[in-house]
Amino acid sequence: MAQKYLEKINKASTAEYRNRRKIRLMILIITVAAALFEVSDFGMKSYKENGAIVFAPRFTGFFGLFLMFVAAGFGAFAVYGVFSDLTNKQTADVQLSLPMSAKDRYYSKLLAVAKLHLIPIVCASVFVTIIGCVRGSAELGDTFLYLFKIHSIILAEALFVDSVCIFCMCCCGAKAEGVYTSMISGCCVSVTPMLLYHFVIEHFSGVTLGGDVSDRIFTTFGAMVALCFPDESMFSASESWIYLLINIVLSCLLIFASFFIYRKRDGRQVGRPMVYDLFMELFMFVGLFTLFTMFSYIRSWGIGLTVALIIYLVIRIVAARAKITPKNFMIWVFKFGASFAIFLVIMAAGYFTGGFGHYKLRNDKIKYDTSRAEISVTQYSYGDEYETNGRTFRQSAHIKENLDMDGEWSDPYYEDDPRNYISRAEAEERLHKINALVDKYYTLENRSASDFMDMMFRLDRYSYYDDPEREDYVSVHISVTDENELRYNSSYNKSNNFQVTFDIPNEKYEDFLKDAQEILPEVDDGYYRDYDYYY
Amino acid sequence: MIDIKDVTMVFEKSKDEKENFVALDHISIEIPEGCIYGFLGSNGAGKSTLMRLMCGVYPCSSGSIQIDGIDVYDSPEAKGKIFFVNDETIQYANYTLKDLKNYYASYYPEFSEEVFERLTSKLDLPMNKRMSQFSKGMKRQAVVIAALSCKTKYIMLDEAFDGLDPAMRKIIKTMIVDELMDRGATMIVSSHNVAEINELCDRAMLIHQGHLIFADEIDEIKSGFCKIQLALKDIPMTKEMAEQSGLEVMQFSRLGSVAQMIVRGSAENSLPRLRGLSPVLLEAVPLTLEEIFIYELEVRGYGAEILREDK
Repeated sequence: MAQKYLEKINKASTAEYRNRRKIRLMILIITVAAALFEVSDFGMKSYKENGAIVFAPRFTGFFGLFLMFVAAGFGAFAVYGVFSDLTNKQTADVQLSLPMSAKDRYYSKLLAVAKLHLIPIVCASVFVTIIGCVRGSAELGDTFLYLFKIHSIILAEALFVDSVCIFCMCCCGAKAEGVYTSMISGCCVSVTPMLLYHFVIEHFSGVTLGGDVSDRIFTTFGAMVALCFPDESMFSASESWIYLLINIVLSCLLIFASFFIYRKRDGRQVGRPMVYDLFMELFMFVGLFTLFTMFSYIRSWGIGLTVALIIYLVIRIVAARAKITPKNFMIWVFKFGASFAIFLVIMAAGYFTGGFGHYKLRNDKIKYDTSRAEISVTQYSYGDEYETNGRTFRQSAHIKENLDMDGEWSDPYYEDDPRNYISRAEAEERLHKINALVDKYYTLENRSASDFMDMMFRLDRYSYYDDPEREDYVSVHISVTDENELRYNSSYNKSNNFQVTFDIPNEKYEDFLKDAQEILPEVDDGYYRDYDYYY
Repeated sequence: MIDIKDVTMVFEKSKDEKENFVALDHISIEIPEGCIYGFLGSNGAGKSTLMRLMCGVYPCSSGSIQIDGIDVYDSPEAKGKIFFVNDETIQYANYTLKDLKNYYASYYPEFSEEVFERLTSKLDLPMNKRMSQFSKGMKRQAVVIAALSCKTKYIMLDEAFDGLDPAMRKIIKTMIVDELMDRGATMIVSSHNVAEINELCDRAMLIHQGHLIFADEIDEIKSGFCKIQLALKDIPMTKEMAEQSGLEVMQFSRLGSVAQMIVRGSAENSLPRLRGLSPVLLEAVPLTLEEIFIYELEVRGYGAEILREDK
């Protein structure tokens, strides 16, 4: 029985697959070309360095890989073709009258998309992996894992493209809507979480954690999975697999959710641009939210809002199809305004809660073999003339217990200076004192609506804290890192950076200096801050 | 048997419409096995909507449609018994006949390659040419061949003969009838060409603005109406006089002293009622299905404005 059922699904998917001749040919050409370029472009080598075997993949060109990503993107065409029963009345008449239930039809279409798009990519990947393992003069396991990971990322990209396109096609009754909503949604899903994190969380909290997992987590969102590309500086070898797997699972869940929408569809909705009003409103809101967040970065709100409004209205007009009345037009403008208001409310919530509590985050461990801590305080005051007064406290040192002298001193001048050594206990005590200092002085009490508007519309985080137009205030910047001028840790995932920037009231300036002096020695290098020193 | 019970189909209003559109309003018909059933109706009457409901493209807003006792919507078993040929062939533009054959063979287990090949060679259709290069008649032939090859118990043709020349219509009709008669299958055909339905079908129904007007055997339908010519000796005949005689007059006209009227009811029942008026001329003329179609719709005001202007 089950076998007969599967046979039926397979036959139906084969019928779909056979009739998508053009897209099948296009994907096959691209994947074959990609596979050939890939196998000819790179090689793998293992060599010994300081007694250890180092695995070194060598890409002389990325064209093959680029073509693979193009093939992953071509899944959109496969989906638009296979799911055309949702947007074309004639096709709907034929397909919906065939002896299949909606469930069977959905399964057969998924299988058809897999046959058209995913299986060629998988076959190309297997081919590249086998040839790579044969040709590469490296440990077999290393080569295999390396190639397997690259192609799993491509497969995840392909799956993401397919899932977003299927979802959008299921929510739209016209092909044009299915196409542009899936393209825009794909971009939004991939980019918005990262934009939001950096703007609302980091920007408004003033806290940056260099070695934390936040950036890596965004690889679970859509096309960002490409960041899992074997890069030791961002991920440890096994870590990226987790994010890759989550990304794949999320795409599968989207396909699963689309099933319920597909099952609810029938011939009546075919041709209606947007089948579900909720989808339309959500799509427009997410699109606008992404645009607004992007304009928050580039600070050109005049142009930004105009561009956003034009894009918004164009999509509304295209999707409406029907006669546009002044009332409709006003409703759209109102919805645009409401979206912007919601955006501002979310931003304000982020600002007044210090990035939704992110400002409380501290670094509580010295992980590696160096440590650098700095507190810089700048007082801005208006007397007869505008005046700044900067004080800096800093110390860079090696952790004695962990000292590894593998010839990685960046400057031999420092090597013999005993001031450059500190015990782990001392380093950690210093770190805890710095954390206590931040806890004591970093409060959200003095945040105001006018400061929020300044941060949103006028200035970026750094210039805000150095803004000569603000009235008397004291800006504090504290950084603790395990990379310093004595020695560099080149790997991103081996860094343990923490930076925080905040304001304190003028009357606490002297107290703060006194507390800072007890933790770190003062250095006399004038006004200097190490923003993004390590990035 | 296809059992259509009290079916209503409502299309929800779009944003620029004020009200929902009722495409079918409480329609009930029974389509027995082995007949050729004609769907008649004005443009936009709901014929195609009813056909789409019958093959599961749309769900009914209320009521039910069963094929051999199984609800058709989303049921592979019921849909496996019916084949729907809609009024377009554009969806097959990229197919060759071979593709078409493979496509339907994948879905219908009873698909007969023998029938497909026999009919394509009979009509001399090229197997490996894209259907976009076919003429309209060839496309229709191809789709009808596919439909017949699927060997379903019921075949629905939605305006399948429209736009074809008379010779092509005859070829396709003969092909269908020959094939269906052999295996006792049922055909449901919708058309604006009433004469064609009259000639091809043994049963028919008339639908107008979503309402069923009649559904019966064609002979029964015809016997339900008659055209009467009548002249009185001294006074002119009027519509009121006919109605007072107990007749339901659908149309009345007079040329000189001779009155002509279309009445509901058979000639056997209607003529005796008029004999009381002592007419000098009284005769019943048989009515064609086309005339019934026109008069029924006229009674309901269809095209009345335009006809009045013409007069």
